[in-house]
Amino acid sequence: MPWINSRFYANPLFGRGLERARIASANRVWSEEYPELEQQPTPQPQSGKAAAPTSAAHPGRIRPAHHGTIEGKASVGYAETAGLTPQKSPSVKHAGPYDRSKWDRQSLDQLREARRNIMDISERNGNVRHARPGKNAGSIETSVWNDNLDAAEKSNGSMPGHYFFIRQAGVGPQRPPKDARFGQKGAPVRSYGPFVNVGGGDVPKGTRTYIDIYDH
Amino acid sequence: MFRKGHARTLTSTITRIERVCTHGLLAVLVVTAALQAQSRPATLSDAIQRRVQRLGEAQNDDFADAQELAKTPVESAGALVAELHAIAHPERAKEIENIPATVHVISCIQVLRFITGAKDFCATTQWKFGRSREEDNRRYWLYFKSPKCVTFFAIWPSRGRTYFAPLDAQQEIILQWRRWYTQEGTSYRYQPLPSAPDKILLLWQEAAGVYSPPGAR
Repeated sequence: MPWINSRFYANPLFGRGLERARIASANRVWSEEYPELEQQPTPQPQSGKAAAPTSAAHPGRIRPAHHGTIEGKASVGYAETAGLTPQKSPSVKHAGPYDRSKWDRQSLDQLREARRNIMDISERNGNVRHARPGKNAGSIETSVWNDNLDAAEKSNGSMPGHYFFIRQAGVGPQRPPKDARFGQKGAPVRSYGPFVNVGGGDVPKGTRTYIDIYDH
Repeated sequence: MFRKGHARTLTSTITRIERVCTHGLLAVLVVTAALQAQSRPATLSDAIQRRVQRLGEAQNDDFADAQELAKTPVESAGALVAELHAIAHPERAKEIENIPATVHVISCIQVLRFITGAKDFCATTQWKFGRSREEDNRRYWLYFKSPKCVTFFAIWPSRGRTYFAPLDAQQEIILQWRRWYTQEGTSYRYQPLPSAPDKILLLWQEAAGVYSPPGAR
């Protein structure tokens, strides 16, 4: 599957057309000669604090060169929030969590802002997860990745906080654990949500998922 | 007979008085010693031991203890290193991460990092990480600081999840801490804490492995 302008498209013709329009609307120059395959990101390890990465040990991590770039930021948003979707519109009774036409607009805006905030924090605090869709990513992973790329483009370091914590209201821990050494005293400086957590990861599934931003 | 009896009575009375006096004196001595022991200020090592033992307890202010322990780094480091022990079944992080003994070891390592100016050890492992999401995350975070070796533990901050190194690496890291303390514990250049409270807090969080200031990577 090709990557076009750092975005993931199952249909290269469609992707190329869409990217051409995006670039034009941003007053940037689109090159038809742009080599798509060279853009294809190879999953390489991120060094963390050390050099000499080994890809075998770190399949999902990105190269240090990507740290702080749009792709690097998007990989943070993707790894940390891929399981979250906005709430459904109040009028919608039945819809799948990934049915974008049924998403509540306000909730979608909140999730976008939360992702930008997380990406801003990742610039100040490198202890974040990085990941990107795998080679066999489906349309859902692709759309989530693209959402994160959009958020990454708008991330400019202006949003607050040094840490973030994701929780399901009423289920599981509502604050970071003591040994995380943040979020122990005082309220979060911001809280985004509620969102829907469809993932079966460490945050319990549910429709009242919040992202809390902490300074200390 | 009377004289004899009288003399015996007198002797026994004197003996009894002597005995009472001796016992009384002993009692006074014991009570005085006990009182002295009570009023005597605790020795430095007692205070350090007490602070080290309570690290990780739910209601304990580990940050305050860490700052106090940093004032006597050589003794504190020795007490902290002595507390380190391997955590069994490290692959079952969800089951063991909240066990008091586990939290205590994590806290001891965090305080060791704090008082030594973020010193830490890592080790290689023979453990083959599984393909589950849990194992993938565990591998990611344990190798976060270095791609070549795992740290004793690692925390995914946004999830509040703690991951533990495989047993062989844990044991090796404990050995490294012990070896370091034996060889360098007294001569090591422990950095004094910064003067500003927010900088101390930053150092604490950085040393605890949560915060990486810009430019540190």
